[in-house]
Amino acid sequence: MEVDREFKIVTLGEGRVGKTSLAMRYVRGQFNEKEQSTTNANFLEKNIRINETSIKLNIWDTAGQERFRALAPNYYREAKGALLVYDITDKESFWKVVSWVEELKMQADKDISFVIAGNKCDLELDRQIPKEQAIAYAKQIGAAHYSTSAKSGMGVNECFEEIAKLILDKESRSGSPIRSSKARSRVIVKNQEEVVKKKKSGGCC
Amino acid sequence: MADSQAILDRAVAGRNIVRLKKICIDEGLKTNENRQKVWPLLLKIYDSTNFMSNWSTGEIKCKDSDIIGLDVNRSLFGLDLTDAYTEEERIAKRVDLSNIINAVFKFKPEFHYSQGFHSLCTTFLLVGDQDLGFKMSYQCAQLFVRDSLRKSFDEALVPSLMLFYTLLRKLDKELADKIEGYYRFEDELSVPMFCLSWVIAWLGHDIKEYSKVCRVYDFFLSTHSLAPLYFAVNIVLSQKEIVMETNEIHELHHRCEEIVDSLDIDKICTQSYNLMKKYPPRELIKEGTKPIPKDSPAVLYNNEIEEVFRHDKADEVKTIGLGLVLAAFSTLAIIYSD
Repeated sequence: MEVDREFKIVTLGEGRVGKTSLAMRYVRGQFNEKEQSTTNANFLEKNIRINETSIKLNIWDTAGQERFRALAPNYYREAKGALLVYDITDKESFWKVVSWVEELKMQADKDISFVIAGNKCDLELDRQIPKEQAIAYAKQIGAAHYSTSAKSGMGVNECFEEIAKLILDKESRSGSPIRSSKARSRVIVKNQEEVVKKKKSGGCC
Repeated sequence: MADSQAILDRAVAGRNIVRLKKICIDEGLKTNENRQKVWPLLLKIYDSTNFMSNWSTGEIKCKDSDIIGLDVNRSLFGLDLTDAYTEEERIAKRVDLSNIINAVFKFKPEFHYSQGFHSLCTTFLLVGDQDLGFKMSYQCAQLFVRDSLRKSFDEALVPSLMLFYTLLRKLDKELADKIEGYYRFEDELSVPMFCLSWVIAWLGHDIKEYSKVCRVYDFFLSTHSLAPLYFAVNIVLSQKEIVMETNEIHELHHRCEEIVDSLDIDKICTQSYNLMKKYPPRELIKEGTKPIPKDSPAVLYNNEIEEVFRHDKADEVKTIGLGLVLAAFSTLAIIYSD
């Protein structure tokens, strides 16, 4: 398959919030309760199409334990998009997302696009982070927020595709090579309610 | 086989550690029973009944209990042996594993749990039982993998990982250029991350066959804490074509993940040992770009592997000596017969 664009995406977040499960669900359509912990990083790729543009997503799924954080720059370097994952049943994991955003703003590519995923939404009863709070935070930093469940599949495709769209969007505005400058306008977002209206100069949606 | 088993048993009975190490390096221990006898000796547990005998009494908790719990709950999968477990067996083993890991950090509060260490403890549990599994894990943390259990990887693990490049460059500049090219960003060389889990978890996270994992441990436990690096260098050397064909860093990671399962482990062990003899760890660490702390196992335990090298040399001398004596006899015989 011929690919028009290739984007590097990195998943970040505290240990066992479900980064690997989200990536595996997205790329392989599988969910494994028994997903082993990640030591280092997994690499996955997926070809998608957003309107006329065929895109290859190179996804680096990183280890979440704090001590691996020192190695993370090697993975987010040159990444165009970051999926920041927290577990809705674990307050601390949300604050970890906040600290990742701070780090990425300082250290990563200045055009990096963020999408925040509140994972494990199948465990709604144990929720510790109010959805409104997470959405408000996402809005504040110009990111999209998705409620996801790697287990049920909810919101998984959408959050990854949103990253691809955001990257395409940014490229089209900055004049980088891209096939269809209208790509974004024709994208169908399935769970619109989850998408925070982004404050971006010239952004649509 | 019977002969080599008899030699091994004699070496165990006589506590001939150097001989045992040579067996581990050259052919591996083959069976779980052998490993239960030999690994404790390699880990300096000479009297396993009295060593840390009260470790399992009282509450077994530590500062890292939360994350350990989460890792344990998704462990005991991924090996042929553990994949065959029933759910009950798996749950029972997880209780053992949790106790083992928590106890290591309870009794070694200065160490910090690192994801990947649970993989090492899993292997020790599978080879022994909970008691021996703890004792071996505890000693392994102290004698071999301490550098990945420090507060930060930057203290010692990063400097030792950089030696991968130093070593590879001595053997194959083209391959070293290729791999360094993937990890050089704006003139700064970062660690070779494709082999990080090989070094931290001794390939237990990567190889699917339990017997192969154990074979790797036979080698690592009988040599030196930097053995995983020598091993990693030999893996890429043996797969040079594949590595040279890659164009992107993610391809390198991907291919390296794929190749570990089909490696000829015996061969890599032999090659790695020969490489250690040629470029001993003691000399290699002197060439590092970043200093390695003095209390690193990489610095502390060089005498032990060098003793094995000397034993090899003595064997060679004996062989040559015997050859010379035989040659002299046959010459005399020829002279007399004339």
